[in-house]
Amino acid sequence: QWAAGQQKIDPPRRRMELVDAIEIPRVGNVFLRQGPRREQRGSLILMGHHMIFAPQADSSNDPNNTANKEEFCILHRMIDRVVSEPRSRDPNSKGGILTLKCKNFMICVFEVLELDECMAAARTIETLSNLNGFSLDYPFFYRCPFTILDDGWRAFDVESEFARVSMNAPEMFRVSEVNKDFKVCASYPEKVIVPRGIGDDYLRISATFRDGGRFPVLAYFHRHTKSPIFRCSQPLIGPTNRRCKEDETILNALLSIARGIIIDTRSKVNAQSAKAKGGGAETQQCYSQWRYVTCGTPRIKDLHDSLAKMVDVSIDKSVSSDRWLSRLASSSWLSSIADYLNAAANVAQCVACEGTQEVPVVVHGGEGVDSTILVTSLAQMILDPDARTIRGFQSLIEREWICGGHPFSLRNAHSAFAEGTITGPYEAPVFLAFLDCVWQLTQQFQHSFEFTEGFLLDLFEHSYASEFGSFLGNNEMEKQKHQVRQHTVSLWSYVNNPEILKSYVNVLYEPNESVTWPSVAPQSIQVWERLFLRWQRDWTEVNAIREAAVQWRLKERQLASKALSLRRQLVELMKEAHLAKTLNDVRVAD
Amino acid sequence: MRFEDILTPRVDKVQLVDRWGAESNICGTVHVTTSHVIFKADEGSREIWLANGLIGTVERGSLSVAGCPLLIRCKHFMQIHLLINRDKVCQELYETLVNCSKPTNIESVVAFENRDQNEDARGWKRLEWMTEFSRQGVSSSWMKTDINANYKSCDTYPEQLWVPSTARTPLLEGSISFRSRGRFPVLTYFHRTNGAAIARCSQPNAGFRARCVEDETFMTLIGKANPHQEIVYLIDTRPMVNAMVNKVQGKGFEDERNYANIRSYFYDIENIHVMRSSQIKVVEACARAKTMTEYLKAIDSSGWLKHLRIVTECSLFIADSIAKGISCVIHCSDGWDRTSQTVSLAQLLLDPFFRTIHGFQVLIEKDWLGFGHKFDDRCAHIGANNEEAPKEISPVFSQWLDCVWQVWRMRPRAFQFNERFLIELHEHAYSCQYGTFLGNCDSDRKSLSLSTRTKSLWTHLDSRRDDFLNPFYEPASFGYLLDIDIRASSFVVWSGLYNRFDEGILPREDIYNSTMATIEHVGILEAHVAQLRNKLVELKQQLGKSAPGNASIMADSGHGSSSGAEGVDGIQSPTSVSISGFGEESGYCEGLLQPVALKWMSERDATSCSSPNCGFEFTSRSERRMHCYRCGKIFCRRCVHLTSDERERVCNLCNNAS
Repeated sequence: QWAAGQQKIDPPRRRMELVDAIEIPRVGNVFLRQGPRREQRGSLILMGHHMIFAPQADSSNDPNNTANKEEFCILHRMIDRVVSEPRSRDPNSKGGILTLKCKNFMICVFEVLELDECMAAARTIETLSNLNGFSLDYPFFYRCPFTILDDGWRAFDVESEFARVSMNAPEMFRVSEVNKDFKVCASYPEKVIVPRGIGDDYLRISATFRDGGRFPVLAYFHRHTKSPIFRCSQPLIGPTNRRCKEDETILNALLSIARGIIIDTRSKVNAQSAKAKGGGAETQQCYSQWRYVTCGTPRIKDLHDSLAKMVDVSIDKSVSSDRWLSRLASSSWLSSIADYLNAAANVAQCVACEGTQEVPVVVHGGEGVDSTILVTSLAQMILDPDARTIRGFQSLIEREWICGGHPFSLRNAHSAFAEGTITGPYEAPVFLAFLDCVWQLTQQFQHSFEFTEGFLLDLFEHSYASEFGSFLGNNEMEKQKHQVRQHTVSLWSYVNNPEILKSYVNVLYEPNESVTWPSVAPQSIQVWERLFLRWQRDWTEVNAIREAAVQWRLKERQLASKALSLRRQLVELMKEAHLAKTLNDVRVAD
Repeated sequence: MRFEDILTPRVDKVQLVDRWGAESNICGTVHVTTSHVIFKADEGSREIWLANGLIGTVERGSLSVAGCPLLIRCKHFMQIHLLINRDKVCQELYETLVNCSKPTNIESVVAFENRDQNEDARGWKRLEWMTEFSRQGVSSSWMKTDINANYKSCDTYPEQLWVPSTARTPLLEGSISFRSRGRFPVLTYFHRTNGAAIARCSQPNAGFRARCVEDETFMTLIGKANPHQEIVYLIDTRPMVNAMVNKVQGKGFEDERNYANIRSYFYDIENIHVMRSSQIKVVEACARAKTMTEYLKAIDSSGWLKHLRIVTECSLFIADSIAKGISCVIHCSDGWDRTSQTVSLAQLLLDPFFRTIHGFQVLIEKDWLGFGHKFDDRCAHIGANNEEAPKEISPVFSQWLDCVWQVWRMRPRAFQFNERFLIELHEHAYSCQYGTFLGNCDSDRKSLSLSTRTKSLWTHLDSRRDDFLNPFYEPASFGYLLDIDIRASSFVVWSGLYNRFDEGILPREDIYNSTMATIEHVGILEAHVAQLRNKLVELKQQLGKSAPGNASIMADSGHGSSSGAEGVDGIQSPTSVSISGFGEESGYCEGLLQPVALKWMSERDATSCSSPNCGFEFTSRSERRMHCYRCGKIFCRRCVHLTSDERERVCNLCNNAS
């Protein structure tokens, strides 16, 4: 599971800073009481980027001993919270308990003989898991064990996406380099797709009117209805009711026959109160050809709290019936998922409802880097059959989330457990919420997505801690500054490696062009058990069912292609027989 | 029901309203017959068939511009909203439907008109007590007693009963007189492996002080019938408070001090009234809740999942004790509701036989029908003739089915049947179309002569056995199911049942149905490939190509399998394995072989029957979609037939073409 485990040797390039933080390189004779496997004795080895648990060599020669003899390894970055405490209140007892709460909701509990060692290990891990910045992170030190056949950093660029769009919409859009050197918008990539008739000067002015400079850019184009989805950030209308003619012109350039729709991912109240702080929403007077609709989704702070509560209730082993449902309800995690799905379904409906043509949809929230991206990308999952393939999904994440400027370093600095000074106001599981929404879709359409649940779970883990550079930094500008593309391996290079890709393919996938309209009714939204109850439950049964379904499907395909080839042979033979017969007839006639 | 109760057999221009407001109203006609209420759309193929027994309540609203609204809530959770343009017509239809829903007499339900003279009576013999107990391997420490011949000792028990062989008649009589309604402890399950047994009974008439030496001795004998452990666990499924209240009424529970060999346990399973209101709330939440918070709060306050959990927990305790070799005696108040639930669920956890389709029917026949669960009263088969009747209604059996479903969901490979089977059972426990679930006890059923006057549900289910098979069943892999996780998070709302008719809410693609179709298709393809091979050999011989030709076919077969697996090994997307679509390559077989579809239509978009003349819209996800073997398209049950040799299922079009 821990891919990092394949490559444990830190290269000599390792900086001194990391070594300095290691107070104790090895804690011997610890007892793993809870973790990714059954209880076991062993020792902890602390290194610059990860912690290794090495099981004790088994002295007894018991053949029934099935204990796992492999080491396991956890990236420090994966650890969300470290707790060390004395084993008992008795001052004479020396032992300590080291608890590591991970960002993937796994909890490891180690019993350590000496409290001092336990504390030293805890301090070490805490320091190394909370280093500022990412320049010393593991991806920069990771040596790729496989040959990269398909470089993930080059696989998805704006030009190829533009080519894909232009095929169906010639003359409608262009690639603009107005953001060269990130001068106009710090969180956008250098090249973006914009309406064809709009010059860079307009974009520059619009950027001054949009929060964080995020002027409207193309997110998706529906090839049948010719309706595009654009995304941006809130307009800076402010208490003085500013307006920006250039911004209005850009939006109006999208219009052709129908009125456009602006979908605000904030609740009405939040959108209005943003005005006092310099933000706001498009007014009817200035954007008269647009219909403004709000589709409220949670604020990121609330989403963060919601995850913490959700994880808290799901890891509680003793939770009784009385409390489970009420705590599930009060966590609001499922409500948030329903809200996002609802917003995305609304966007999709505007774009692709029967009888609609050329209805441009503009989506924004506040800063335009969280719920905005979530909603536009989820709408694409619903609408676009390509996005439901593994490669299309990668492309979507790369375009919308990574290049689109979702601040991964800020949002994913911590997950559900961390509290106190190590956390800041910017953490929020927005990307995880997106993955959960996608999971809901895959549950409703088990044969419509090319990837498996395991792929979503791995993406979740990589987005928090990884040996790959894809989720490092908050935007393209930071990536460039730290030369992430030059010095790290892209997650997609790994995923697209044939050996790895195989494990992510959903064999039950049947490609189809139609829209996967999800049900957003509360009765349809489920707890993503494999995510939240992953470490609590046994998955043998679920895995076995899946495997059986896969085997039958493979057998069906194999037989069908066998039958096809036999039929061809038969047809050939019959032709031959016919020919022979004709020849024979001719001969007889002669 | 009687024909004269139908005031309006036909109402035209009725609008069917979509509950979720997603679709526009459908105009059609309502027909009321003695067996069904039918809505048929004027245009299009929408049809709803509702067995009269399934009508729960009918509500009428007041007349508005749109018309007069009529809401039919059904016992299988369908809700039909109608709009009728005239007030008087609406009132007549309302009265007719109410009459339909409440027959005055059990002999006027549909089942009595549904009897087919030539019917196979095997369904009525699903449970033979003797056979079942010998299957269980009952040892000589238990024996059959005729004490209840002609139902003379206990009118709600079956005639044949098994008791410890050391128990003499006076002892039994003593125990019978001490137990509520004479339901004294009798054997229902014998665990062959260790000789432990499950016995069931009703509460003792103990009050605060009363004792019964015979009952106490009898309990000792039950302990002694177990070769390894004389201690007996006495499980009272009621909350302690309820049991105490019963003491005041001269009933209650056994005093451990008077019984030498018992250990008492109480489980907080609530009574039928609590369960009734709980289910009403959960159904309401599934039907109405619009937001996530509202939904979760409503489910929470219904307490339904909590109840399911406690029933399962108690059953698990029984099963666990039996597996450990300790006999259990279980009772609640009368011993026909909570006792039936826990005793039968415990057996399901212990004995793989009860997890087969046949065994499950035996289990229901034994612990529900045999030992007298009051289906007539609990399911409200007939209208109320007294004030007590509405209080007797309770979803005890459907709650048990829900518990079974929860366990099924945790260990799907351990069951021969699928979810559809449980849903079907739920429907027919109420539908009154078959005699199986009529009557309150064995003697009722005998006096109604159900086995000669009505059809058995089991016969009907036998004829559709394929519909109920679980593609993932692994008979050999599961013994006891004692390691199930009964934490609160394991219990979820069974939306497949409660939202059964809300197409949009349930998953659009289901791995159980699709895999079942795949397995069926694999079987057909295997036969087809074999046929093709034979034909090839035959042709080659005709052409004078002998051995080498054969070898090439063999070699090719090896190649074929490797190329089939390419889709996975070669990491191309599954699309890369090209399989011809419908009809392509059909030229191969003219006059040689029956056509066989290489590709089967996916279930996802099959919302209606593919037959152009039919176009029947499937009313629920659980309805079986049937593929025609020749064209691979999906049809409804009415539009496909088995060929005369019973080897193929074909649609009318393909049948006519050949």
